[in-house]
Amino acid sequence: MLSKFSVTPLNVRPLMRIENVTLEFPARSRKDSAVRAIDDVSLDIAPGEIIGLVGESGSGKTTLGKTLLGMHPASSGRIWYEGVDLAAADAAALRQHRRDLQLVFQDPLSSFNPRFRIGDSIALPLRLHRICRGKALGAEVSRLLERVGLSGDHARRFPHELSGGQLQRVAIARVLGISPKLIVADEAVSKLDVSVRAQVLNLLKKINRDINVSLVFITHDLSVARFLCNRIAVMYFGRIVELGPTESIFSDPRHPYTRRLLEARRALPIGDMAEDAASPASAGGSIDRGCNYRDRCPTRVSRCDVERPGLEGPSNERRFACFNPDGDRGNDAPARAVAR
Amino acid sequence: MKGLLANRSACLGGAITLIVIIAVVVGPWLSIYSPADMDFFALLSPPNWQHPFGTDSFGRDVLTRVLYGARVSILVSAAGVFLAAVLGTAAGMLSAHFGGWVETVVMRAADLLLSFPSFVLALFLMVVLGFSIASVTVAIMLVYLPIFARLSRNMATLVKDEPWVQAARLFGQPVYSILGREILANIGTPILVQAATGVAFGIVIEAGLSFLGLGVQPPNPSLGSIMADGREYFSRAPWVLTMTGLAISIALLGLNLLSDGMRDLMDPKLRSRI
Amino acid sequence: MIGDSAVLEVAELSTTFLDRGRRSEAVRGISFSVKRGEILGLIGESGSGKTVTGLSILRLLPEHAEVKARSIKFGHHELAGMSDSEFAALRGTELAMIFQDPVGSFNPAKTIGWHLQHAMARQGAHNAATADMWPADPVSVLREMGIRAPERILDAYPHQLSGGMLQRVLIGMVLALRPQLIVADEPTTNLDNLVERQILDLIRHHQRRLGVSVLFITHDLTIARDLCDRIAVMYAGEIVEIGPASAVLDDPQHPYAASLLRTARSLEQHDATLFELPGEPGQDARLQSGCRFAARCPSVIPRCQTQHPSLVGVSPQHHTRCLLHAQ
Repeated sequence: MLSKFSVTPLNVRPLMRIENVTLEFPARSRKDSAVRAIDDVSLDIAPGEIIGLVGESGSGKTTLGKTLLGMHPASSGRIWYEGVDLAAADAAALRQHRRDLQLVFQDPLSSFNPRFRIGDSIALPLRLHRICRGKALGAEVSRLLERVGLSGDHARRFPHELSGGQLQRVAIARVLGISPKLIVADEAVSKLDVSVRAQVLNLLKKINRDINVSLVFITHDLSVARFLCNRIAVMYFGRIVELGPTESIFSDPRHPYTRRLLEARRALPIGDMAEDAASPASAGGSIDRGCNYRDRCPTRVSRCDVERPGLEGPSNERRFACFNPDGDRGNDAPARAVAR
Repeated sequence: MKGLLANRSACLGGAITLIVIIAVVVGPWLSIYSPADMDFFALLSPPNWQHPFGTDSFGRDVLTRVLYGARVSILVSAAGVFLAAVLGTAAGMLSAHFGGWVETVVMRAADLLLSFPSFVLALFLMVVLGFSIASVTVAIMLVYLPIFARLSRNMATLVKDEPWVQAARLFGQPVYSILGREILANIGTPILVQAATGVAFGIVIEAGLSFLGLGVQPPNPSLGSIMADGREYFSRAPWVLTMTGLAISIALLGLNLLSDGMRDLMDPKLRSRI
Repeated sequence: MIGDSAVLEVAELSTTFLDRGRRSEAVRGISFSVKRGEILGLIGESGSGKTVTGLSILRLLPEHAEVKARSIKFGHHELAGMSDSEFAALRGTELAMIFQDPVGSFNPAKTIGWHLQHAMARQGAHNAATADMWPADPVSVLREMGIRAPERILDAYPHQLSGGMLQRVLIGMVLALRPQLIVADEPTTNLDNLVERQILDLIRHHQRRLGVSVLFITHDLTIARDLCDRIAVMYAGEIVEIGPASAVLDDPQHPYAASLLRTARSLEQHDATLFELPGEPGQDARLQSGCRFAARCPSVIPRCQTQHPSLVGVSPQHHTRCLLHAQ
């Protein structure tokens, strides 16, 4: 299992490589502009790692998670998986990799067909991918349920009879059945009760350890990300603004936005109650020139208005997108990243 | 099923419909008369023990004719509505799935059919197709096709973006399977409700067409033609028209109560989930 | 300043739902009070009854809910047994509410300006001491809530504003009514962390200034610790611990409250495995004759299965419902 302190060894081939992916939603009318939900994002995902995509609503984290599963077609860029560019693949090619790339939804109740029993819902992917049939199916369903801490009896129930926490565990069981290589968990614990959240988080960690499946964990809750993830990518306005091992992000955040997010976890009063000048959810779209964060940034300099900071840093694994993270009007640019 | 029995409308409606169906299936078989038997000694006789509904101008037993006629009406209506349901639901689901020009074409076609009042449309179709039982069936089918298409397309559109459908796609479930299993299972009930109402009104359409002489041709009995007959002799023998009309009303009542009951069940099922 | 008198005193409130012949007790005879000027936090998870408590007091439950109470004193009004029309005059003016989703509190066809003017026309009894502390015009109200361009917001319609902005406006409207008590049910749960923190700060700031009492319903311990003066923890329809916020959250006496805290701490200290409580919050509590937490309690003793604990005092202000403290 990878730790939160060290970085992925450079000689391990990434499981998935996301290269300059952009996703633009067309303008709805002539006065709106196109909205860039994902703006030139590049990221490698190593086998067996847990990477957190952290940000507020509108940051693009959920869209990115769904795009790398092929649920949204990217406007540009490449998503390499097992030698295939998923962004350019047709439906047939995508289907071949369906087994490997799976999703756990935010709301467990609506991720199950309300008319079918839990057992049938779990059995469906098993049958589709011909993993087992007939009698063996029932046994496998029970085994999967037990593996996530539920009993085989639950197979007979309907989704609305189970609680959120139980259903989320069933969702994990359903996905486990086809042994995926990468699971995107989209705010998978946000809607759960506090006492149940711990159960599901522990389960996710255990599964990652047991079968070495990569997890892309989308969340707005930094504490949860800290518990679960090896690496964290902080997203703002469709771009990754900081990337690095978990502990490094927490102990030494470089980007002003990351620092602000960490500050918000402090106790009240935080002293700044007034509305922010621009937040991802309310603003119209990505600004083309300059840094997206400049209107809220305490260390803004004139360069921020004209140039867009790239994601660069002391090493390939520890990067941030800011010209002036430390507030000095310094001329030192951060060390350039080692070319990938 | 359990819920269905608890609902009073559904129970009552279901019971009436069941009685009507049994009567229509078994009755003609049990009747000692055939619909064409003429008894010249009992022309236009009022209801009595031998002829519970009386006789018509040819001395034919009205009850027997009503039962045979009802059989035809119900079969024609049910067949037409069934075809409309199958074809219309398929069209609706496919247009919800594909969207784009498929959806536009199907929905505009549906709008076109719906812009005619149903009876006028049926009349027009009879003129085009000729007068026969088959063409009545086709007419009823065409009247209901757009209704099912619209209903299923609206419901499928609501359902197709639900997370569990997305999950099915992620698991690699083929499109037709998603439509057939997942989505259909969830939109089935409103379609059944619509079908029940449809059969009820279909009976009215058929009766209306036959009343005008456009549908089932004499001497084959049809509810509408019996009523047409009965209308001519209404002052002398009101029972023919009245009894036939009553029979139609009872059948309609049963079907409508049944569909009301089914529809009521759909709402509370969602409400009590809180 | 927290006064000695209570603005709300609830005695033995019970709420039962009748669903197709089955009775389920959401709230089982709870009693608590909110003092003048204080924020009382009502903490619980799903099935605890915290939201139903708020809705019962506000009379916002559907027809098939049966609400009973020995007494609900609000100021000098007795709410239990009051007619619906008399109550309707109090609710929305002296007894205000803020919900999780602000959208439902706005008329989508009217501008924000209209809403504010409407609200200010319905003011309840003035608290003489604060009559000059709260601005009398809509623009200033919005500015007090930290909104940068109040004029623009006044002309906007609810659907044009984000959730966080609407919540700010709503709180402004509610405070403009100068109510005696605000019932706030998870007002920041849907909001992003940054906006959430700002709005909580806002609530705290103005609450202190105006001396409004708040019944703050939430599942989030961290928020409760920051915001509330006193806390009541609910489980399966009962209050299982009640006392000053620092006492309840730093040294909880009830095993359920203690386990919630342990989980929260476990997350903060980044343990390798989080502390877990087995089972589910709503689990089979009604089938037991003894303590309703017994099935999941890490400190359970045999007596817990048969004897139902009552609230006992750990200290004069701090009570817990646990047999382990009953001696």
